[in-house]
Amino acid sequence: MAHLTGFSYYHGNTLLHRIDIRIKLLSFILLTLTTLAADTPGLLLISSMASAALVILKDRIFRIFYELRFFMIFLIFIFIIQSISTPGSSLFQHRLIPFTWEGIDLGSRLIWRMLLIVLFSMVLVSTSTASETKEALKRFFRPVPFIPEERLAMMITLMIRFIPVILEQIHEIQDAQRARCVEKKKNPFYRIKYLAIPLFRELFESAGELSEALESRCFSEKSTPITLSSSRIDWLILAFVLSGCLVILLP
Amino acid sequence: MHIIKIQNLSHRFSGGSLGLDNVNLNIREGSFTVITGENGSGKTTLLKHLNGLLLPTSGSVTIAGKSVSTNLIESRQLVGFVFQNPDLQIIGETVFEDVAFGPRNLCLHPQEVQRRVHEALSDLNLLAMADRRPHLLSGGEKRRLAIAGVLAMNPRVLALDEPFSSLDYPGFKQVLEQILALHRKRHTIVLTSHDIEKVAVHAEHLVIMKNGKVALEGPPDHVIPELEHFGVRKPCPSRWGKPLESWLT
Repeated sequence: MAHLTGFSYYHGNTLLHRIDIRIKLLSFILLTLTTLAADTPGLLLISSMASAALVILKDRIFRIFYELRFFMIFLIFIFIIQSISTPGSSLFQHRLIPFTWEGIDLGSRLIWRMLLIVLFSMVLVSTSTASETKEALKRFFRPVPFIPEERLAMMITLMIRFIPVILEQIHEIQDAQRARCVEKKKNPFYRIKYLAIPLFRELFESAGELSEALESRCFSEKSTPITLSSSRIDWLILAFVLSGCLVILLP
Repeated sequence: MHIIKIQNLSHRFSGGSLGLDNVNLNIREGSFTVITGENGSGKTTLLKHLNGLLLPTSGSVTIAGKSVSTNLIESRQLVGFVFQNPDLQIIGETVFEDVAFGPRNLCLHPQEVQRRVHEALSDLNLLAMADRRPHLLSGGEKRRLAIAGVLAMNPRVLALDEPFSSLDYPGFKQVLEQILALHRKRHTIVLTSHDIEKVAVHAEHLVIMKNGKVALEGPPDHVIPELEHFGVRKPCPSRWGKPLESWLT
């Protein structure tokens, strides 16, 4: 299973790897929320932060963009729909291609935001181990009443951890179907149906085996806590992100 | 002394089919036991009873004198279970994190977790790979990582379900060498394999399963001549009347 995605941890010793996971998660939440509310100047500032993060992960950039290739197609599709469905002044007069200036403006900002959020989540997942993330989530959820924080944190980390495994399974099923000439069927619903059936069967079986594997290694709601420590640099980074978000959000 | 005692064990699955039918089996501490049989003969079902992943419908399984059904957590510490598919057993994002998963679940002190992980990784020759991503390891390395993951919980018994399946020859050798090294360190080894050829010479106790029952058990000399009556191919040297040879030489 050498085929891994940008949505998996890679070991390194960059600044992003060294930041305390709690600070990283808080910064991620702040940046995501600000991205959703920001206008063009704000998006430019956030993009410069995302670029800085990508520069730090320099040997990872190509992998991340390669993984985003299908997502880009999805974004282009959204852009086109937004551009032709938003009323406004026409870019050019054609009854079949009714692009509007307002649609293009809205669409480009929408895909810009989505791209930034996906990039930030890829940076977060690439630089944080599952056990650190689990520990941080556990601490965040602990004060919330009626929430089994250990179980919830484990569920989230397992979900992140198994994304590459699920993608690999999809890849294998697609290969097996290609070997049996599925490409001759042009109907996408037919192909989705025959992808979904074996995929879900496989996923449920894998989930059963995984829960047995967890049980056999004594998984319970109590475990040795992982030591998390934050340095001055971590707090400076949080302060930088927070002030950047405030500058963007405050009128 | 028998570390594993199985008495009148039967297991019926929720669908109604009988997985195990009145199994009686004792396994000596420090022994190397190989359970063989056709597909669907009940090998994995039997193995899963050793650490309580499955519980008996009737009968009992005791490990080191304690019933598995009433001492689940203790049984899971005593019997390290290595699954056939290591990809689903590996939880951690790095080799180190994965091996630490079990000891952390036992709520051990962080220093003890560190010590155990270090020991398990060095026992399985994985120390140099501690920071690597498990999913980029080779088949043999992944299987060794899965063994290290349970070894860090200090088990007395290692139960390995088809540990050589889908391994090439170098991968097989890596895994077998490590299993034999653990056996020399007085771990009790119980492994299942439908292909007896590769491990027969190392086994001290062979068990043949058929239709959920123990069809035959005993020392290899006694069991090997009968293998083909139960759908398991005899090792080649036995067919030619020659002594068994290790695949490691």
